Amino acid sequence: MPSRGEEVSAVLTGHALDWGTIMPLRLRARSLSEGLYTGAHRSLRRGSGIEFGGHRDYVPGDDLRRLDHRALMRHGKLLVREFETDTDRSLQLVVDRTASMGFRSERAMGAKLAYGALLAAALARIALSSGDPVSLDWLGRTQARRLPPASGREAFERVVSALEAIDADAPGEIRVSDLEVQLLPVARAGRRGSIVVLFSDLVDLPQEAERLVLGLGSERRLVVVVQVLDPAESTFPYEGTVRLRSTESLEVVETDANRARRGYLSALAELQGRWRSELERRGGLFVTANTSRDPLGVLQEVVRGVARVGA
Amino acid sequence: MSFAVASALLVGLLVVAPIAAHLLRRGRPQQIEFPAAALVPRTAAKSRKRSRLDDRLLLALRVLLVTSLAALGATPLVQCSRLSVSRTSGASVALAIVVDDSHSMRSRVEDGVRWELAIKGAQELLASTRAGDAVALVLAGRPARVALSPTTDRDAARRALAELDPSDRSTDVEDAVKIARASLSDLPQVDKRVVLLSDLAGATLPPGEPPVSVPLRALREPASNCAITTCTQRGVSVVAEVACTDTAVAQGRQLAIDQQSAVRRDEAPSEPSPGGASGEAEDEPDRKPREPVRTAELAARGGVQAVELVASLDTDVRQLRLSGEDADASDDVCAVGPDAAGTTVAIVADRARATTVTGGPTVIEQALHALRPTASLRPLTLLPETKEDLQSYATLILDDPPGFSPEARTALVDWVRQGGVAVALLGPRAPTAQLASNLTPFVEGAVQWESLDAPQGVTAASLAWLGEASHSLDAVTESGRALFGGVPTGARVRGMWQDEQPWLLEQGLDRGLLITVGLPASVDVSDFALRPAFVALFDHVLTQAESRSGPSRSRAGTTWRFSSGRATAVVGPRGELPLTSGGTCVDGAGSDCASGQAFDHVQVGLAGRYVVRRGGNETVRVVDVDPDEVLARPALGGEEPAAASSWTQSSVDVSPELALIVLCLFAAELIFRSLAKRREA
Repeated sequence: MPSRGEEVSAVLTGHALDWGTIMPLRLRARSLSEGLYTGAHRSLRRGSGIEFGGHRDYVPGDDLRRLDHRALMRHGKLLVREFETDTDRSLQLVVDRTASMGFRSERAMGAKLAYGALLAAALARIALSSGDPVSLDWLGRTQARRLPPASGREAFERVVSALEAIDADAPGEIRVSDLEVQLLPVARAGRRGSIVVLFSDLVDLPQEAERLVLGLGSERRLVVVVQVLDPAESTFPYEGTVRLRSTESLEVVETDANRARRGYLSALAELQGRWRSELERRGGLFVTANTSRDPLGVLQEVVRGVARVGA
Repeated sequence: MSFAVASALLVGLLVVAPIAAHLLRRGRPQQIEFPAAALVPRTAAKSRKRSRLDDRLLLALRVLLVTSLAALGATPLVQCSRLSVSRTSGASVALAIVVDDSHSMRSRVEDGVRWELAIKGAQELLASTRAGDAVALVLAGRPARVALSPTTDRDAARRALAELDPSDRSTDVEDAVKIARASLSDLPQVDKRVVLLSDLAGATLPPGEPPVSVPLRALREPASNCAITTCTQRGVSVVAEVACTDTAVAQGRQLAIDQQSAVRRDEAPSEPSPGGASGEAEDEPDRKPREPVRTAELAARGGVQAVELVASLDTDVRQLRLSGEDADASDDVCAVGPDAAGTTVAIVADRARATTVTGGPTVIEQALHALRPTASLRPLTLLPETKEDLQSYATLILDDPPGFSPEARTALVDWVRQGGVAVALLGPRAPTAQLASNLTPFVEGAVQWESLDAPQGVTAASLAWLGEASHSLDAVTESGRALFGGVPTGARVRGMWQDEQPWLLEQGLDRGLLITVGLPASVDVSDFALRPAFVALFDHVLTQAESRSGPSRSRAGTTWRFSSGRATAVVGPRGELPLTSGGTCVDGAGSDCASGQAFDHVQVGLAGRYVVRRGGNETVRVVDVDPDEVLARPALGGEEPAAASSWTQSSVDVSPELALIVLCLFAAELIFRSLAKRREA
């Protein structure tokens, strides 16, 4: 436990994300996902056969073997057949990049955003290895380029490149309208059976965020929330009188750390309990991740949880 | 102040740094970025309080640390008030400490009593000596004397210093410094120093090496004081001499005879005990309110003034008291002594024969008055027949006595044996002694009066001991002379007629002396009384009387000598004084022994009443204070004293102590921080 004189050095980012020991992300994510294979050999891909899921217009690049010649004869245009397995297990990654995610304390491997990015990249590789499309969306005060669902080797590269290039927002509260705008594409793109994974610390999101995130779980989508916390947030290691400044609202709280510790941890447990119970009630999954923890364990917990919940 | 010292002191300004840091830290706790701040409850008050307590302890430690460091750097600028021996080369030092124990050192000045300040200074000097240093203690009260010969035993020096007491002596700084220098001269130490702890009242520093350091300036602060220096009862009068330093201190003060100190003669013991009412006041004045029976106001002026109080006829006054307060209360009380016995002369003479034609006192009285203006002359018509009646006289002069009765002879012999000096000037009445009367013990057998047709003259050579005046008797004119029937055993012929008949006999009788002269004082018989030898003879008589009877009044510091062989006890204001044996008596004031005899001696340093018990007899003596001890202002004559800094140093190097403090503070901070860390863990 750090002493009062050796306070955790918190880094408020917004410009340069503190990756700590997480870099290089590409290699770490690949290693992480391979470790998972080695350990569990579990795949996201599920189901016994291929069920017809309808027609859509042919676009250049589609596999010609999927052209429905009978439909061409009947309707006079090129249509391709789609199957349910191609669409139901898509992975929609949503990463919180608000200012609080740029926080890193002394004992953490890196900033929370970096840790979340590592988990997201590893999950993306696992999904892409199974042939499931992966999309990437962001939560933040400012707009960032989203990646539509895509498959294949290039998709992983694009996801990793987008994650490596991202920085946390500058300090400031995120508005509910921003959340709605940023979660709307997720809701639209997600189909029945897709998996939405949110990486966030949840500690400074507006109250409406809970409703919006839980709303993604309709239409049989599986919502997984991975709460990424710094060790300082998990244990509240401070001593004596401290002035704590929120990274987003910039609110300052002056308190006796020793006396406030129990209240804080209780409030945190209450927050986690509420998310957990609401998600489980909707068939979702709540996982907590500590940035001082081995990410492999978190990844296994997510994969097994998805397997358990989605079965 | 050197640049380094100034810089070190400037470091002391850094003491504001921990204070400022403390204030800043206390006023604004450390701010930490914390994303989940919204979940943290606000509980500030108690934590601030605890933080303040912790910080104060650390703050105190750090402030002390910085201050000590600055002082350490500035040492030896940091000064203490104590004296110490500075060492330039680190070698051993030979130190002679001259402590003035004169009466003026009893006065209180602004910082305390001078004596106590001096002793404290001497103790500090002793404390600063090291092994190998030699220390000598010399006292500067008259006579200057060695209290401790040079020694390297510092414990012995401390003990000797602790045994010193103030006295009422006069100041004798000059001799004390000479003694101090002499005591150091043979010591092997190269660095020799003389330190004088004195008020320098009336002091003169003799030139010489090593120079004298006079470090305690506080001793030289002037003090306002009035003192009764002498007080004597003469019949019904009590005469006191009072010395005052200035007008202000004499203003409105009264001299008083207390009821307790006025004792009726028929009620009083023969001599008071020194521990009684008369003796107690000399050193420890009785502060109980007393009812004065007689008072006299002092004139409002400085200097010495004589004040007379008239007591009752039947009263002995033992003590005088001066009202009011001044720098020294001990000298506001005076033990009243008898009239100066050494110069109290009884004269038994026929006024009609021994007076000149112009009238007035007898020629004997005139001669004595010329010799001792202050002498108390008592003309008597008859020789007292008891020893007690003779007790108050030191000298008895009998002019042309017709013979003594047996009672008178017995009383006379007893009185002479105790130190009296009797002179018989034999004249025409000598052969006319009545039945049972004779001139024993002056002469043996009958005395004849021989009428002379022509002057016989006295051989000047036989009177050489009278000096030049002896020649005046070569041509003495006389109408007759007394021829002694026989020279008593033990008597010496100290003057002869030109026909070798004895003219002057001198006979020692125990402590006393009998002198027999073959001519009377009457100018009708001879012109002997008109010649210088007459005055020279009485000068010899008075000198002998003063030396043999012992002084009834002495100055503090006088040595009293007593011939060995008789039990002698001297009881002073503080009890009996030990007598020291040694030496052979010579004539001189303060001697109570015959010339050439072994003697015991005692030095009286305190003013007051003393009782001398010797051979079953008691005599009272009074020791006075020298008025100069009161009047002399602290000033220095002669050689200027050496600068204090060159011999002794007022500053003390406290670097080791400060370094230790710094170390302790540093350790305390480390321990405190370690404990704090453990608590946090």
